Amino acid sequence: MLGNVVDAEDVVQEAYVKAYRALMSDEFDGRANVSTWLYRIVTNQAIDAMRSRARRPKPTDTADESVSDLASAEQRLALTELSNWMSELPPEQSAALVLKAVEGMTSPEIAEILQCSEGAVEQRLVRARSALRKRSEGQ
Amino acid sequence: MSHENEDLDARLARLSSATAGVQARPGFAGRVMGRIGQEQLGTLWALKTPARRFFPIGMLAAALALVWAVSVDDQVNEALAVNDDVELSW
Repeated sequence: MLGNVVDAEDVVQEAYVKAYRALMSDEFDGRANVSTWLYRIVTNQAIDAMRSRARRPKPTDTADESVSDLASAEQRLALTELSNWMSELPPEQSAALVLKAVEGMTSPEIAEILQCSEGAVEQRLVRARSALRKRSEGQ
Repeated sequence: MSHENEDLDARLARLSSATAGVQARPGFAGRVMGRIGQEQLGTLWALKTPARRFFPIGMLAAALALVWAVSVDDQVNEALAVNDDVELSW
């Protein structure tokens, strides 16, 4: 979703800190599966990061530098391509599409993570696909 | 680029498999644990400031407890002295 490992690490780290705070203050009620709950925190944190990035755009070549020491050239290109492609979408649609197509999750799982109905997830996926198709036809 | 005419789902599938092996940098778990450790220290520091406000109340309570203890000690001494039929001369 974020296009580079450094930003993704920052997001996951902050998500774990939030999860720790929530556990310490008994905010986790145990209704959701722990992994779903963690996915939710991480996804929300990533959506916030994408929103703040949209407010102040970052040069795209920093993504290449940030993963140069741990990812292959193919992985770097794929990350940058995916991030640039998804940046054309609103963060909520991008998150739904990445969870579905990249992470291989089902719509009910995505609905639980994004805390919305399955219908809303399907709507976001349809809109995201439609927007991406329009963009690629327009190019 | 060789992927120009690629179908949307095919492109997503290609990017999914190409990014599947990307992992966090070495030492990431240690950095997260360090950050959580800072969070724990922050909680302790946060407790220190409100605790300072209760210091004068604690001192007052200690002084009152001391006065009470001395007065009770005098009363006990008097009671014991009476029970032992000791004639007190003032």
